[in-house]
Amino acid sequence: MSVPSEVKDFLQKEGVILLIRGLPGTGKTIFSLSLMMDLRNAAYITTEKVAKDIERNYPWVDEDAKKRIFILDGKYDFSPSTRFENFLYLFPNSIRHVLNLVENGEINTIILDSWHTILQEMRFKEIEERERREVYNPDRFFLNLLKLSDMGVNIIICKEGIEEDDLSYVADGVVTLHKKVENGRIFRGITIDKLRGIEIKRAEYVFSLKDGKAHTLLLQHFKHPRNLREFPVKEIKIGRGVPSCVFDSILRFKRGDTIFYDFEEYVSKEYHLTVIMSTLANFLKNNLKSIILPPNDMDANELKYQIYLFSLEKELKNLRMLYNEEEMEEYIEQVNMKDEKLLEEVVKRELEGASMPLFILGYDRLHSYLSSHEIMQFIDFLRNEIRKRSGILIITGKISEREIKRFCAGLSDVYIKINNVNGDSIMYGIKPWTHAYHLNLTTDEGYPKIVLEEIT
Amino acid sequence: MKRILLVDDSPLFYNFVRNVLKKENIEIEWAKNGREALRKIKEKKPELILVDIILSDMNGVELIRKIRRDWEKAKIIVITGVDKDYVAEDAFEAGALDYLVKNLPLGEFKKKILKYLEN
Repeated sequence: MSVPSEVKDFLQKEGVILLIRGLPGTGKTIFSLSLMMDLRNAAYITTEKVAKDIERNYPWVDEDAKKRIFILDGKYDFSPSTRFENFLYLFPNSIRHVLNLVENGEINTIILDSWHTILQEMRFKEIEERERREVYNPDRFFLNLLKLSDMGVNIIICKEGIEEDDLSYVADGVVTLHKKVENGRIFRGITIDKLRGIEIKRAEYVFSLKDGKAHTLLLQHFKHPRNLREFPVKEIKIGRGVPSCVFDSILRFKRGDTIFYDFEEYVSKEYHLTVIMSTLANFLKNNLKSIILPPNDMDANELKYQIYLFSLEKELKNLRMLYNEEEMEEYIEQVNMKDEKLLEEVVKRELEGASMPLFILGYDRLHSYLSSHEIMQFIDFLRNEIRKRSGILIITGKISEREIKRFCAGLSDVYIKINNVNGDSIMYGIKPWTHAYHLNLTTDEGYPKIVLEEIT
Repeated sequence: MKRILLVDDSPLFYNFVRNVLKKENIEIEWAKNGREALRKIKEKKPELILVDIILSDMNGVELIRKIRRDWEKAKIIVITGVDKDYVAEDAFEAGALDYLVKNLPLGEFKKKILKYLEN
């Protein structure tokens, strides 16, 4: 989706003024071009410089849309108007032409990009064209636009800057685009400040300008698939890297790697579990031994549900699940987690003879049983055991002590952070460095799958 | 003597069911997986089938669908450790009469089984 649905719904009304504001580089032009493409009945009025820039840099703007881009002081034909009468003559030629199109029913929205550059040009014209100075007077132009909206035409104004002013007070709708740069990664957002008469379902969206197009990134809530389908296997072969089945488009694990997933505590459980279960499912379907000491948000019931969701019933012979709780099922190994040495013994026993095993360690579960020092010792032991067997160790969990997180960050070969940003799950790799990605969880294919969208 | 079939790979749970129902004059057959269950249903024609959701060769919902295809009137209830509405919905859709979670109090568990055997 290019722009939030609330904004689209708002523009279905008649005679509204929408202000799109933001600091330089926040994507106002791309956002408003995307709006023009989506609306199909919007005209885009801009300066010659911006029009050339669009021609050069936005190849996705198709020929049909290009016909609706007009240069403010360009030479365009127009004819007398019945609907707008003499009011038509209070505007520059480009708008007169567009108002003819409004009258014909071809256009109902005028986009002005950007407010400052248009006003700047008007000031020049006001001096140059003395006999038409009324047309180019910025204050009059502003008032005439207000009248135009009273007459049922929608006006969208792109404005540099985020301060409150006459425009933001008068506009029926205001959206603010913003970006921040964190550790070299760009995070973009759209805030819906007001949209009169529209229920705002969400006031903040994550936003991306990938490939020069506006993408509003939507959070999908988990839906149980109506028809379960087999999780697709990715072959694990020596010399080809180890697929995570989640982040393969941006990074690959190598045999012997320790992976640290640093999940922020408010990332939804479904996202957390799908990330680890996808790798686990693939190991099991490759007939490789896998052991899981599940993180805190995966109790035995949840784990069994995941087995059902990923259709892993036939692969259970290769799976060992370590819990401390009392469980009836045999396949859940009960371990006394209070005893670190015993835990090590169980792990050694389970790993005996295993080649390329996967161990998923929910380190936050261990907090209830072991001291920080003991947890770190256990992690170190595990890492060595898994490395000896060329396997993969995934350390995951949400809440933990800073000291342990730093320890895991230090010893890991791959370090991925997954944060909750206004309800969205955003990931980025620290080791190796990656861009930030928005995560989406879909079950449309009959099994849970994480879809990544780059935020750029 | 009434006959029930328990489909579950856990011998612990099989022993549990046997103990709960030992005074009730009920024969309990046990199948460790889906394939064994289908064979035993054909041979023993049980009055009631108890199915776990996680089996070693297929999931319980798949098994219920297979049983329903050949024995339309079979009485099937799910007894499982997976306490999820989503899975219960799948099971009901496949044709289960009830969905019981394994940590149900003993007395209640017994009452439910007897009720389904009588009706």
